[in-house]
Amino acid sequence: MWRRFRRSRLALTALAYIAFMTFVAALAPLLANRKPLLAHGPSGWSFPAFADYVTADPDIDLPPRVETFALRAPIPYSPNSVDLPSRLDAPDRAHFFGTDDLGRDILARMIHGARVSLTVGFFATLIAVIVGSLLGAVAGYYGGFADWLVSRTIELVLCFPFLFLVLGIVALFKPSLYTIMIALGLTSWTHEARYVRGEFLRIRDIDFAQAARASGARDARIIFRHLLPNALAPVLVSASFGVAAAILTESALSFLGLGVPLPTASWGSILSAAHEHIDDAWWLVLFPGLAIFTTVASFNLVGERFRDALDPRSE
Amino acid sequence: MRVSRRILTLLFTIVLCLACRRTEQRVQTPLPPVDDNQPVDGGTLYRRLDVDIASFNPILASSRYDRYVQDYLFTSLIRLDQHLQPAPGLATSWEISDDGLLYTFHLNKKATFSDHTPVRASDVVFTLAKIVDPKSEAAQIAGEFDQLDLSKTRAVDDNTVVVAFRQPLASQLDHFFDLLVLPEHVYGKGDFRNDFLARAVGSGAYVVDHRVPGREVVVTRRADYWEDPPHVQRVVFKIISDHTTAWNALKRGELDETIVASDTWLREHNNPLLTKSIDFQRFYTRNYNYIAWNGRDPVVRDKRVRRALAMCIPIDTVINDIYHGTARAMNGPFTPDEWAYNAAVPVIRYDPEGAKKLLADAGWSDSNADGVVDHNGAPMKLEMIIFAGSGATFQFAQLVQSEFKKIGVPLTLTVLDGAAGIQRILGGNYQAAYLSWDLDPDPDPFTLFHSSQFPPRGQNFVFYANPEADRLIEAGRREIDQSKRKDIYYQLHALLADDQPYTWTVQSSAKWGINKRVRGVTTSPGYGLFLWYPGPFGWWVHPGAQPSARR
Repeated sequence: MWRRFRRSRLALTALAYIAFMTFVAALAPLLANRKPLLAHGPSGWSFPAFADYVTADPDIDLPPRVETFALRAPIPYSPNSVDLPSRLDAPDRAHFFGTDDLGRDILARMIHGARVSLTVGFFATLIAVIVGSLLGAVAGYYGGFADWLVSRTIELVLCFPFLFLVLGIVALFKPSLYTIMIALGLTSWTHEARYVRGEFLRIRDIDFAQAARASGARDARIIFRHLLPNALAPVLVSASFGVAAAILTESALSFLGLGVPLPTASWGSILSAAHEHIDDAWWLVLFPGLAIFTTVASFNLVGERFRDALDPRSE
Repeated sequence: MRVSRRILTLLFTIVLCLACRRTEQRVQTPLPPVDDNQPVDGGTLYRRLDVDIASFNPILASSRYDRYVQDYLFTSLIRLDQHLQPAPGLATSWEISDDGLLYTFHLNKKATFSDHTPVRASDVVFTLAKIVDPKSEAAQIAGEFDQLDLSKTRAVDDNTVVVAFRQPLASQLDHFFDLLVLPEHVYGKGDFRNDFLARAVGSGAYVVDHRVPGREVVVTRRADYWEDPPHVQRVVFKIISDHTTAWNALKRGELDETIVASDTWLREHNNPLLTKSIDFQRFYTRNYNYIAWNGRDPVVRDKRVRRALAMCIPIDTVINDIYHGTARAMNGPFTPDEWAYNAAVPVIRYDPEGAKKLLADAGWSDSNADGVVDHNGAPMKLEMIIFAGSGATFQFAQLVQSEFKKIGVPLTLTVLDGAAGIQRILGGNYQAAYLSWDLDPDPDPFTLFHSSQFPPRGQNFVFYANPEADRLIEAGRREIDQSKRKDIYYQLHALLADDQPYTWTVQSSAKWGINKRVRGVTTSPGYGLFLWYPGPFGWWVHPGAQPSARR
């Protein structure tokens, strides 16, 4: 499968881009931070920027410290430090991607926003895959009433317009990263469930499953050890599309003001603040827009290539 | 293959979007000159409503946008002129008894409702009875007539009405400005609260043409109007909640007037391409922004905490950078243009160090050095409600959030839409909220700060109760002599500034863009473009721009 995947250069580039974004997201506090990475002062060596992995930037005014040596982060701004005198600065040497309407550095916000987008994308999809696979497996393996119940539930969930369902769930709870991940996960598991159910219906009576049953294995063991691993391939395809959809939906929610709470940076919330300045601050629209576009497109490209690679009939 | 086609489609969409943006920039051609002393009748005026109206029934009005529309359909008993002084409306003249308890109004004999029936004194009595009837649930306007003595209020003859009160109030005459008279033979039948949401019979110069909820309200001029008819034939109210959308509609000529955001105003009000077709106006109105602190909340009920937080607001930076110098610092319940404003009351200055000390006095300090102040081991938590829609609000809120953080107060911002937010605030289910008031012409702050005015009775949703303030408020609204009233309000101003039931922030000047095809636009010091007379009823549409091709 990997060999078939590798044949598409476009998909490989997309995969590399996703890896790069993940890297950026994971290292965000070290890439964009107003605190130095490494500092030497009267109290010895310290690593102020790393503290952000423990607590999110508390923005408390740093005591004026005498640093004899300081290694600055590549982008020496934190995502939420307000600097009104330099609000709406165009991209220049000080701010590569410009600043927003509170003087916050857009590049720093986008780097930290990548964390939000990718975290939501991955975890929402993980929830969807887990819920979808379990329900699909139960439906496909047992059939009968269980199948009827799961299938009707899928149809019920599919009946609601997706975005409205998510908006409804998010509006019920306090807006936070977790609310969004759970809301997205709990509304987008239907495709995964259908794929797994279909696969289970196909393979549950094949010889290896019969053999497992004959050797006295319990249902749970047959489902998880023997059947599920063989049914997961199509789920992976749908999951990579799912990540793309989740990132896009998170951006839409943040744009509508129902996403991550202020002042947390996410690509959608940067865009949301941009819509008042669409005439005079193109950098507020262009960069987060491009980030969303390229990331979502990359996940879609990877997903399509996965599907083609898995399909023995293609090419 | 599929892959590349998808990318092509996306690129194509982007190109299309860019192309669309181009056409938006098209500038309207300037109109030929016209004699501004010779108004021309006819034409259509396109106005904006930030929020859809709730009802055509003026007794149930809940926002000023309801009133904007109702002013076209109804006539108030008295009007306010350009200088906010009482002027004839339905009543041509009036007398007030020496004890201030009896108001006698003489109605205009020519006045008729849109169903051609004359306006009678009995209709005024009927409307007053509906206002104070608890079944009407007319929360906002009922407070203005809470001293009404209905048993002594009567129609002397068809055109004379005597309105009686139990107590004299200095501001009472102004309140008749909100009395939009209803015809008894129409509104006396059926379900008052629900039957008149979508239709209206009034004595105004216009009648309802049609309404599309969420989109537009259209009114047309009455043929048989009983007063000098206004010039504009048809008024279309477009419901546009977003400032940027409205601004673009104004630029395209699809809208004739809109309030303009500070950032937009700074960027565009000197743009020669736009000033050819758009008239920019800026003025102060009786309006201020404030943080409301819930007086029942265990954290902010302490006035030292409220003052400490107020000291963290860099008000000069807010005015210079967010409002570009087009706002003034506020320090109390009266705006600088009002006679009740006490100039000796200081504005709270930005002083984070002093704020830290004051918080420590109140028992809040960072005892475990985690960057968050705590009290008896419990870290501080603060939530502020803000309303979606205005960029300046979001900027202010996030600025305050970052400033509070510097003294160890974590602030959560909760963005709500109108109805949900108002419900939480009136229910006392909040800690802080960033709001603004549009004030009456009379400075009486009774419903905002008197301890008898907790919701649902009044609008004291900060649950402020101070016997001294109550005494001053009561004395102020009863005193008829304005110089004595002034002394009382000076004391009240200082007391409220000290107690900080609100943290007053700024009085932002209103910035408007008006299409130059609309002529005869004048402003009132205090009210701006609307809600005074003639105000928008003196506007007319340039004849060269009348045969409107757009719709």
